[in-house]
Amino acid sequence: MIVNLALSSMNNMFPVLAIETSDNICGASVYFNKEKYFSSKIILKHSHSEKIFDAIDTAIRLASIDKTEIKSIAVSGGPGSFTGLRIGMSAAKGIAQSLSIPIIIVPTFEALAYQLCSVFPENTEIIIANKVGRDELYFAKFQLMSNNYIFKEDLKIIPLTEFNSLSKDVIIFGNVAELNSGALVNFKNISAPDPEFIAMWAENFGTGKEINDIDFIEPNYIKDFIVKEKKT
Amino acid sequence: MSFPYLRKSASEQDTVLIAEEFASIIKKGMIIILNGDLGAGKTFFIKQVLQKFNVTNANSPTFAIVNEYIGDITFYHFDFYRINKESELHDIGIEDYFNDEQSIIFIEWGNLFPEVLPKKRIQIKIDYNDENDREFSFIEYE
Repeated sequence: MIVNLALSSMNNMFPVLAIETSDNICGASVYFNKEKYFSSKIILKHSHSEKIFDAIDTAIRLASIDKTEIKSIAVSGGPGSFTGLRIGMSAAKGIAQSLSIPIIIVPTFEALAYQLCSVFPENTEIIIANKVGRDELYFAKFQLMSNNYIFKEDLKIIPLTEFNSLSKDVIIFGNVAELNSGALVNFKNISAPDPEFIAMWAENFGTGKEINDIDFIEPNYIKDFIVKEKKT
Repeated sequence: MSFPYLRKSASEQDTVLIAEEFASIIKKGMIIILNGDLGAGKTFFIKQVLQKFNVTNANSPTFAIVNEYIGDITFYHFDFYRINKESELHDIGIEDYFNDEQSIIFIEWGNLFPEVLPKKRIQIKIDYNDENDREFSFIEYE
């Protein structure tokens, strides 16, 4: 009965509008299910604030729906670029408020790990590492399963100087991947999930995570939280 | 100019020459900290450096916290003087500015929040005795 309720609840969430702006990708997807989604993606530095609504409009136009038919929003919630996350979250909040629909905040690294599950064999271990300023990086290690992932090391901020010792003989994704000399393979250009995988993460793991009271939600600025915790 | 470097300035014209010399060695990706008391000439020095890159609208960012100038290179000019706590710097996304290695960053009063500063940086200290007696010390941290 609980399962049925959950499924019924999730069915009311689609089509979901997914937004990804945490790093180099400025993208949106109108997602119905794995066999039917419409994505729009732009890679252009310093353009997220200018282009996100174009990306959203394009995805909605491609899907041939009216925007009022969107049932929920899945937004990439970080970690990532402070500016990028704020742009995505602001767009999500504005649309959610005007349509009176909920937001699901999707953990960005987990969505990327989930995307990579469909590419790599089961049990492959990968690291995702993206820059925080000049001397630190966001770091997480995952074991990929067939349609899921396990955290091998939790998401954290580490000094750049520790990066090499923590990540030998693994596959590394992220915009600092090339700085690691001991990796098996570096994918420096894959540092954020595609927008449809933000939606797929919400589809698979977002049940019960819909937020209707959106006034106080904010992205996962880990760095900011650490500082605030230290000071209080 | 090689670091550490020490220069005395006995006039505004001397300071202009020091700024021009410094401008000739700075490159994209550098983070430059300027420390010195009020009136030491931090903003004046930066204005002179930026003129060499065809930036003519440089001004004190004391109230704006950060100014952006686009000349031959993009510059970000911070002033930490009015910042009360470190979290305010994270609230304006300072990491994103540091991540932009295609720009040059100047930070006045960087000594107020040393824990935020990247390890690799150039630090300039201006000691001000009177209008005709200033000392500029340049140190490079790796």
